[in-house]
Amino acid sequence: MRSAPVTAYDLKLALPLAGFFALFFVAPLLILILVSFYTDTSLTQFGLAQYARFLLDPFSLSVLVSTLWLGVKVTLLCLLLGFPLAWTFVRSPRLAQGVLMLIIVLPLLTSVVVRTFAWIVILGRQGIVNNLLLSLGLADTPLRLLYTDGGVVVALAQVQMPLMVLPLITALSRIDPNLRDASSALGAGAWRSFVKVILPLTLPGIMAGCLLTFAAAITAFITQSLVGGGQMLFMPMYLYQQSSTLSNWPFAAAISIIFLVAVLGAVTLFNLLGRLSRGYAQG
Amino acid sequence: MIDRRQMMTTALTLGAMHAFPQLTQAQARRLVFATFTGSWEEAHRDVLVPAFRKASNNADIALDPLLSVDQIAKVTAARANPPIDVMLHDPGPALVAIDQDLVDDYPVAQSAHYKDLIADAQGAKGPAPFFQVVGITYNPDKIKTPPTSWNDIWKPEYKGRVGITNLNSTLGTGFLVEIARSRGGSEANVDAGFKAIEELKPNLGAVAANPGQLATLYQQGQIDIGPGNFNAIQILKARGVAVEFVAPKEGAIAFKTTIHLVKNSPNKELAFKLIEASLSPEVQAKLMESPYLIVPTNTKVKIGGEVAKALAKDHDEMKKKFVFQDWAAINKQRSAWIEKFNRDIKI
Amino acid sequence: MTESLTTQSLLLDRITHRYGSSLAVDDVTLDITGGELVALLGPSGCGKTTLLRIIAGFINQGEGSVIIGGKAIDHLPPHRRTIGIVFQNYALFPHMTVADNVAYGLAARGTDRATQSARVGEMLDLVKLSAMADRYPRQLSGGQQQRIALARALAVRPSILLLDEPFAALDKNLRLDMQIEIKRIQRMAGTTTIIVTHDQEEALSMADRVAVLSHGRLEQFAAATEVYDKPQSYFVNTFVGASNVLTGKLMDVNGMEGTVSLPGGGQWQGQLVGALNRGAMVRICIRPEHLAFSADADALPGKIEIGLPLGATIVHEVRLTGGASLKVAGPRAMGALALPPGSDIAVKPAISGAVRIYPEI
Repeated sequence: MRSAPVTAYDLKLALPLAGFFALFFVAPLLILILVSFYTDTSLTQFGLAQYARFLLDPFSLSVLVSTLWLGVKVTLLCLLLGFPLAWTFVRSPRLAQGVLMLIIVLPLLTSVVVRTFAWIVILGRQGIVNNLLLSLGLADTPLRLLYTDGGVVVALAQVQMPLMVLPLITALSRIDPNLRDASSALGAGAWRSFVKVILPLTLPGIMAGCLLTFAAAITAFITQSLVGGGQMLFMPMYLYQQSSTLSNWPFAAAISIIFLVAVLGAVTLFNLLGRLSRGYAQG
Repeated sequence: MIDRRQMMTTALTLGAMHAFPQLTQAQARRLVFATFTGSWEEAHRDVLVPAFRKASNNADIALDPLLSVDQIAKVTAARANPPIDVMLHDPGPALVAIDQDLVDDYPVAQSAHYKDLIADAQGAKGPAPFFQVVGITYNPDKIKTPPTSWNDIWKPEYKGRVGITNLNSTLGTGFLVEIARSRGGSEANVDAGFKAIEELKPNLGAVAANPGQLATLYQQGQIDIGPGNFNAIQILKARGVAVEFVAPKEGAIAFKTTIHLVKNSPNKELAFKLIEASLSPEVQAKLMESPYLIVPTNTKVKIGGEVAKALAKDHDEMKKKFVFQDWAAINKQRSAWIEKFNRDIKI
Repeated sequence: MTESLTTQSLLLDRITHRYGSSLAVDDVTLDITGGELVALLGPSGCGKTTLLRIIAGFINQGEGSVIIGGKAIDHLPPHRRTIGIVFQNYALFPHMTVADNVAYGLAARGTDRATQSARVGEMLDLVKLSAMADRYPRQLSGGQQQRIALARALAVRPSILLLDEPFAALDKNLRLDMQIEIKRIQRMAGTTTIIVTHDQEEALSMADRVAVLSHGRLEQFAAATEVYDKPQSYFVNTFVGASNVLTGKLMDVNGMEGTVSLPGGGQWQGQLVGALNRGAMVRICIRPEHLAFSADADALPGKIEIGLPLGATIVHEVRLTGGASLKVAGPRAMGALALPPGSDIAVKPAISGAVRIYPEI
């Protein structure tokens, strides 16, 4: 006797969720797309004017590029700092792991606004960093750290760090510890073992972490605007300006759609790269 | 030809009514007053709402604290059956709401208080129960000689210590216009203002995303001087932050905060009563006191306290010392200015 | 193919290691001749795995020295020790082909590509898996994976080959094949080899010499037959092979021989292991196949509890009149049946010297 396939239940059970998505995600998205094709703010005429306005404007394009570039920088920094953290976690004794996990997850348990304000306190003219530099005599006047690109990158990296570290931990803890021993017994030094064995096997975790961090960093309206200030323009703030301050819904909608497409493009490209590099890993 | 916008709004409303049937019973709902968030909501809850209840035989009222833009969005989405009865607006959004035909004329003839408002606070589409005043904020611990003029902000000694906001806010836009006017420009031409901000760059320690963030930057010592909203600074000061407010000798920038009857409101009468309460000298006098320190517009209110000390002794002086801006002219070009600010102002 | 160059002796010189306060390895000295196959045998927690990791360099021992070919290698990190390891789970690199796995150690040593591929071919021939060069580990059976792990370890011509529970993950039929296979390959390569195992049959069948460990101490290090026939401690006697254990009183001592009186009456002669004095309480061990039914006067009376004909042998469980229970094993003659339960019999050691006498703890 054959039992019913498991998936038969799954589809039916997924219906409420599918309905929820259709109502609250797909429908608004379709409306957004529709609105983006109006040429005027009173929504009377259809046309591609909003897209033309964005795509033919070097300034708007530069906002898009700098937003994506911000995402890349934050992602790289998260990876650079997150990997050793995940590595330390995986190799720590159980008790230390508990403490480390708490520290890693803590950012997720506090509000983004609170975390971002902490960075304002740290990076400010009279912040911790500047006070330290001044008291050590490394600087004569306070450095401007807040409202700089570097400040935004560092703050975002901290805020999004769990999104990178958690997938990395999962990937690293799945690696058989004997593989490292096998590698070193075969004559590979620490670096070779890392590059040839650990890194390729962690790749799925790296990919997942990078995608999450990237997506979160480029859309992080609060941190971008609070640490970046009012003069640093990234896509979310641009979008907000047009929709909220100027009530220019069609242009705002067009910005959202362009942003969405650009992000999907970046993610696809990233996935493709990942699959290529995994190609040799899994054949 | 059918108005597409109307059609879409209707379609959305119909869809929403299907999804949430209780919306169709909105005819019988209580009065909804969209106030601003934060200290405004507090002031209105504590003073305005009790006065309204007294005047309306304890009618039910709900406060819906929202930014101006969100109020407009909410009403636009359901014009025929708006979820808000009374809106509160800064001058820019007020004109947007009026332009989009979201508000009714205020029944001036029936109003007991309208005639007592100072001329600048009167308006057929919605009177102003309060003024917001922008002057210079500074940190008295760091700046020993109090500034007296907008021009003081450009002093080289304030290198890296000045904070402004971008043009998303009324504060930022008003500041730009005022600077332009003091340098020969006008609401129609703010090039001089942009040039001045360009010159201010070495002094800029922060371009905050919004006035709320700007205020907190004094607390953190990130900035020591800049344009600031009287109320916001007083609240900060009351919390023990080292800040002072001065009205510059060129005159403090005054914005009307206007209150509006929403078109198609099912609670017209109660809405009128609420607005009347907000214009009444009793409510305005109470809101002028600490900790609210909201500048009154009714000439029957005798000005006193911190408002009298920092701004004006009476309404005559107020007329002389306050500078009002032409927001109809400002709104025409605001989008272009925001774009220019986006492109040019990088610190 | 045998390369005497890679045949190196291994000396573990007074190795002691602690994990925190617990003693994992307690003053172990093992002198292993080049080309020898030695088994480290003991129950889990006896220190055999710690010892293996010390040899490989994954653990730095607290005291003592690891000496290969006369040179101490204690200061060398694992990747400079040229020691091959086959892990219990094989630890093949899942993202590399069989050929890349085998070439890994060569590449790590900077061997040129031509030499690498020649060497890989040679190794795959040795383990008879040349056809699998382009497969991935997950596409291989357990036995094949193990042979690849062996090829990978041997490819770098290690001075010492370490096998950690190499057969534990294999099913019983494959196990014997692989034991023979590994022994064959080890003989051909001539590499000094250490097998860590808890399986005494595996140790006895494969190893030239067996080192029995218990609680971090070396109990005995001798040829497999000697460990079985002449266990040097009560632990070895009971851990290696089956044993009957009785307690008794040492009545008489004559050199290394002793006479023990048994609780149910009767006396047996046996070999004394360790210094024992007359009158001491002792434990005596005798293997089932060294007991036989006998009508002699000194045989101990008892009844058959159950008899199990096991093909070539037949085992009887006997309850002595004195209360103790013994197993008696002997070859089964053609057509022989087990004695029926309840039969009255008497048993005594069939071979003199088969009874070993240990101090009571």
